[in-house]
Amino acid sequence: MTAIMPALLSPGLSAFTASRQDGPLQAERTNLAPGMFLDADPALQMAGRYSSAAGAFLDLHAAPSGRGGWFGLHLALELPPLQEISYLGLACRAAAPEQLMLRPCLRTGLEGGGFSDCFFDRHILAAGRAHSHTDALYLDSRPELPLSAPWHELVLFLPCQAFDLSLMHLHLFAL
Amino acid sequence: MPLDPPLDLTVAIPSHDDNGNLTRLLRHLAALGIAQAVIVTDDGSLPAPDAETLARDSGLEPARLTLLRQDRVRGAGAARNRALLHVKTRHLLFLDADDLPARELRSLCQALAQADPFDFCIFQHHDSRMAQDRQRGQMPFDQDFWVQAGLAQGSLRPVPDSAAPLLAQTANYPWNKIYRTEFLLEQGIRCSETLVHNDIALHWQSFLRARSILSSACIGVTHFVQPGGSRLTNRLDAERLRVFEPLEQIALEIAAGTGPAGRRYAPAFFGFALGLLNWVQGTLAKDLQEELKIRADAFLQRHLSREMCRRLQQDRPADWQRAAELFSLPG
Repeated sequence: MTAIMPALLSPGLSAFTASRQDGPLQAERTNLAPGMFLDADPALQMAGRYSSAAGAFLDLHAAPSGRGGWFGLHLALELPPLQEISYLGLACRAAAPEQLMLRPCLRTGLEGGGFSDCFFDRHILAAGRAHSHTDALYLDSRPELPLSAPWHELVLFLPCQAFDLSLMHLHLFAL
Repeated sequence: MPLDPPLDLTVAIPSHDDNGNLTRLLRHLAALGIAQAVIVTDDGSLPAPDAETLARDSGLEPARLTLLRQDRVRGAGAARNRALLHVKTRHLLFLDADDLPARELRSLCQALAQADPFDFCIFQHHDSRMAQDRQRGQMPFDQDFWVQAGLAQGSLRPVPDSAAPLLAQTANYPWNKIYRTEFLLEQGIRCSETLVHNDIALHWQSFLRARSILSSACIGVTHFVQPGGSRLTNRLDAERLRVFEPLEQIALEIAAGTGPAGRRYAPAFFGFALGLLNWVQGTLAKDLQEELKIRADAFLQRHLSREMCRRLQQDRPADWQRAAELFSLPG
């Protein structure tokens, strides 16, 4: 069984993690790197900052002033044909001063427009003490996933309230 | 790049007014590289599908696809029988148009390509109703038989004679078995050509006549069930009364059998028949209930010996009790 490593699945992820970055969160879309962005419901009136120390993935200080329905971290994926892999997984290490729940999903673009979301079985819990989280989609158990699609993203749904979060690293793998 | 099929396998699919699901299935078969050949028997769909469109929309190589047609609706059993006559590969798998094969089916095909000769291999499946509980696999009713048979685990195992009658009591699906084509042809095993209950004869005759059965815990297929939908399983009409045709056929084969197979399968089959008749009674329109009772009484009186009655009371007390309330069982 061959593992397909993160650099191939999300080309922007490794470069972003290796570099030093910071900037303000935009009200709607904050571009972090090619194929990587934060997307907020405009109703949230998102504000705050992001930063990434060299070698670490992403720190977020989110300070929305409105109420809205979604806020997510999007990573464009370059997946092999899904019939050639059995698992698509993620591993991350997270911490947050207040307990947070994050929900990862595989977003699949549909022919003719639109998309469908396939959520991983487990939520990511971030708390004061940093801990690691791994989860993988067993693709056979998700028959609703099309075997070919125009595009895929990993979407990490984030809280819609004010929060601080440190995602020390995020890795993707396909087996 | 398309994957090469690991097993010399034809997938035969009856389809009736279900081109959307059929195309989805063909797309999966093409992507997973499971079938050397695919035969679709269209059962009177309007408009009739055409092979060129199916191949183009699914990505299946046109040379692999054969489209047969029944101009009037004759049911999935007749459609499967027609497909069987056109199979040229060593192995055969029947799928329904709304089934989806899994990656594990390809793994199973790889294993079967290197297995000793077998008549058929029964494999596990995922029933979409299980997803409501975030589980994957068969409904508990089916899974329990696999557990009792000691075959709930294992990529590929021979089915001992003692375990086969337990697996025979699982739901009579045609799409959870990979057959050796010659086994079906030589034994004259066919589906009943009725609109419903057309898989009973195929299922039971396969068990009764096979000399070598394999089992696999691979979840090879996802089977979608939509309660209250328009599937044939939800039909309430008089077609259900034709259930006695395959039941009678199998009961007579068991009675005529002089070998151990008949004796081995008799309690399993009549237990299954009892449960099925109870179920049919619960789904049938009221104006057909009297007719069902007359036919069921006659079937049960004719085929259940005193010894078999004792056995069923012991093995399937709930079904026996229910049947005793509905029908006239032998004294």
